[in-house]
Amino acid sequence: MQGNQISIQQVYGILRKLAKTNKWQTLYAQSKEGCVNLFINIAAYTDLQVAFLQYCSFYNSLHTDIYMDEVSDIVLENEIYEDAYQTYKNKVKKNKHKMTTPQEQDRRKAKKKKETTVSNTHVVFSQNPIK
Amino acid sequence: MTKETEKKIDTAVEEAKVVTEKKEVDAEIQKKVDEVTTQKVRAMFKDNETMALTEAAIQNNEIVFEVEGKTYRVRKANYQEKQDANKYRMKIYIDLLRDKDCLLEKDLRKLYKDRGINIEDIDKQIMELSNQQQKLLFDLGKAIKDNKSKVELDKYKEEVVILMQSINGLSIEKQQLLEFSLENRVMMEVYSYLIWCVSEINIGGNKWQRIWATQTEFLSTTPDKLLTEVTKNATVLITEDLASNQSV
Repeated sequence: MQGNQISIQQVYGILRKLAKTNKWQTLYAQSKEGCVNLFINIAAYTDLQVAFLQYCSFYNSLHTDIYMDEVSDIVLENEIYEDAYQTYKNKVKKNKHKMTTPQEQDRRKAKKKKETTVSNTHVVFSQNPIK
Repeated sequence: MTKETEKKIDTAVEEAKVVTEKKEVDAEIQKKVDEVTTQKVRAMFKDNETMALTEAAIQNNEIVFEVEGKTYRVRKANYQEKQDANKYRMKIYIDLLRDKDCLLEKDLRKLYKDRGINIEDIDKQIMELSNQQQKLLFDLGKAIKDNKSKVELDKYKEEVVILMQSINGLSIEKQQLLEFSLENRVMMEVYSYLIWCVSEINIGGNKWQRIWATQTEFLSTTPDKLLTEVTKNATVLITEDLASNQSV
């Protein structure tokens, strides 16, 4: 019986190939807009479905970076390039986060909160509710 | 017959021999090319088939297929079946634990160590190679980001591939060494149980029933086309249940 089975790695390899196809990238983008359902079930996703969504998201992110000229489309040439670029991107992001001190992070959060409050207030009053 | 004519005949015979040999070599090459092409086409069809199966599995949580004019399906295990599989797993685990000939993974590792095979060393090697691989991937990723030449990128890629092959080789070696551990045997039993649970035959309309009424019936089936198809398709759908059942 063992000879007939497809290995777990094979299944995940296929999930990845499927997620990369134009068909599934389009469907994934549409599903994010709430236009289509990807699966027969709309809740209680299986692990297989969750893994598939993670791959879809991975390729969606690569396509976005290519569109934003962050990276050349050569990245899509093979899975090793794709993984390498993602590894580099994640590490750079992690290092950037590490480099900021906790005080700096608090200061940024406070600044962001203040900006949001001001802009919200600005929006409220710019509509001039008292006419 | 003059000497000149004899010489001409000899030359013609030699040339004919060369032509025949060349034809034979060409035919042999063509045969090899055909074999390789056939293998590639077969692999492509197999890949496409597996892709279609996986696509059906993620979209519908079931795979419907036909064998000798009858319709069958394998579907995702439901909550009750997963609970039953878990109970079965515990039962098998305890049964095997009572069997003194069956070794736990940790005992098997110890036994191998006494025989001069250290699985911990294999684990360490895998870890070291994985770290090297991560560093190389980072460098390759940076090179991609910096628009380095294709030649440079491919150098990195080749190094990554070599590391991947080494890691895979070690992983397979470790897997083979631990194949007969109690944990692995439990997983194989649960795998078989789940296949039996989720394999159904269409009995008209939207009605389905188990192909094999009992697990004993399933286990005593002689391998045939149906069993091959069922096993192949079910694996895609029960992968997650197997993965979550690996640790006891």
